[in-house]
Amino acid sequence: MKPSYRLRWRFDFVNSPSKFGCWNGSSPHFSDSATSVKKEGLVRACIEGEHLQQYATKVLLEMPGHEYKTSQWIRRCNAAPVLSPKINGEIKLQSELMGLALISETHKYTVYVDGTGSVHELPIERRNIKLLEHTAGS
Amino acid sequence: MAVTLTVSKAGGRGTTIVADTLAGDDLGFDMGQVVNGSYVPNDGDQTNNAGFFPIYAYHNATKDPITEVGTYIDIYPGSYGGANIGGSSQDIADLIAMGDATPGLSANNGTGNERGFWIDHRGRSLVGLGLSRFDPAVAQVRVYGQDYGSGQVGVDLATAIPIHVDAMAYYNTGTMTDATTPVTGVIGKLNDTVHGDTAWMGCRFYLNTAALDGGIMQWAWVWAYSYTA
Repeated sequence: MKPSYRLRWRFDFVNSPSKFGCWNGSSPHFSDSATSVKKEGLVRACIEGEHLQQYATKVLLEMPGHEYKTSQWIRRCNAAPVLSPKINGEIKLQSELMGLALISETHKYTVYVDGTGSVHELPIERRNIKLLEHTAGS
Repeated sequence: MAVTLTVSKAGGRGTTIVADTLAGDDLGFDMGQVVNGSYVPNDGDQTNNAGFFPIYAYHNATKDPITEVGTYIDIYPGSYGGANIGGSSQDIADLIAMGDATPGLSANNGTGNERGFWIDHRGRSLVGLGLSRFDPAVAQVRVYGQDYGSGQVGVDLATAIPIHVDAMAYYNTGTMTDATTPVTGVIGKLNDTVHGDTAWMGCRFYLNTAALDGGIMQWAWVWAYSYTA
C-alpha cells in the first residue's frame, strides 16, 4: 500500500472549537489520543487527509456525532519469512500505519493511507467488546 | 500512541526481539530449509506429523484490546536475496499459487502433494495434537492462498486470516492458559484473562514432491491490527 495521505481525526462540536489529532497519531502522549476528547456536543467526527505531494487537506470521511462511538488506527507489521538453510530465534517486525477508522455501533468505516476505504459490519461478539469511547477525557 | 505488536518464536511474552539475518541482508523470520515431499520444520519425524514453528503474538496497548488481528502474505519488501529470476513479485505469485493448488488432504504431507505456507491457530494444543496437528480439514488451520469457498484467503488485507479464538491464551501465572471468553481477532491487553493477552499459533511450509525450483524464496508475512485512536 503506497501512502498518498497522512491522516488525522477531527471532531466538530456544537458550541466549542473543533479538535484535531496529530497526523498519523504520531504523539506518544495518551492525552493527545482521540479517546481523551470528551464527546459532549459532538456534531461530527471526521477523518482528514493531507495529500503527501499536493499538501492539500480534505475530509475523507465524516460521521454524524450521534452515530460515532470511537476510532481506531490500523497498522501492519511484516514478519518477512524466508526459506533458507538456517533457523534462528525470533521475528523482527517492521511496522507501518495503514489507516484510520471511525466506529459506529454496528460498523467500522476505514480510510487507508492510499486514499481508499472500506466498510465492515462488526460481528456481534466484536460489538460487545467495550473499547474506550472517549470516557477518559479531561 | 502507536501500539506495537510483537511476534515471537520464543515462549510467553518475551522482551527481546532477535532478528534473523535473511538472504539480501534484511532482518526477518528464517524458516530454514524444506525438502520435496515434506514440510519444515518436521523434527526428523514426518511420519508422526512432528514439528512446527510456535508463534506468539502480543502487544503493548494499555487501555484496550487490539482488534481485527489478521495475517496475510505480501510481496517481500526488503532487499531481495532469493533465487527466483522473476524476483520477489514472482515469489509471492508462486506462493499464492502453491496455496491455491494444495489439495489440503494430508497434514504430514504423506501424499507428497501438499504445498505452501500453513498456519494452525490451536497453539496451546499443538504440542499434544500429534497426527491431528495442521489437519487441513479444521477451521483453525488455513493455507495462505487457498480458496475455502469464498475466494482465496490471506492474500491481502481484505482477505486477511483472522486469528482464531483457539489461539487466545494468557500468561498471568507464568503458564499459558486458555482465555475464558476469546473473540476472533481480538488480543487483550496484558493479564486479560477474558480475551487472552497472547495469541499462540504454529506455522509450517510445505513443499510438494513434484516441485522443480530450488533456492531461497522470500515473502512478507503481514500482521494487520486495529487499536484505539
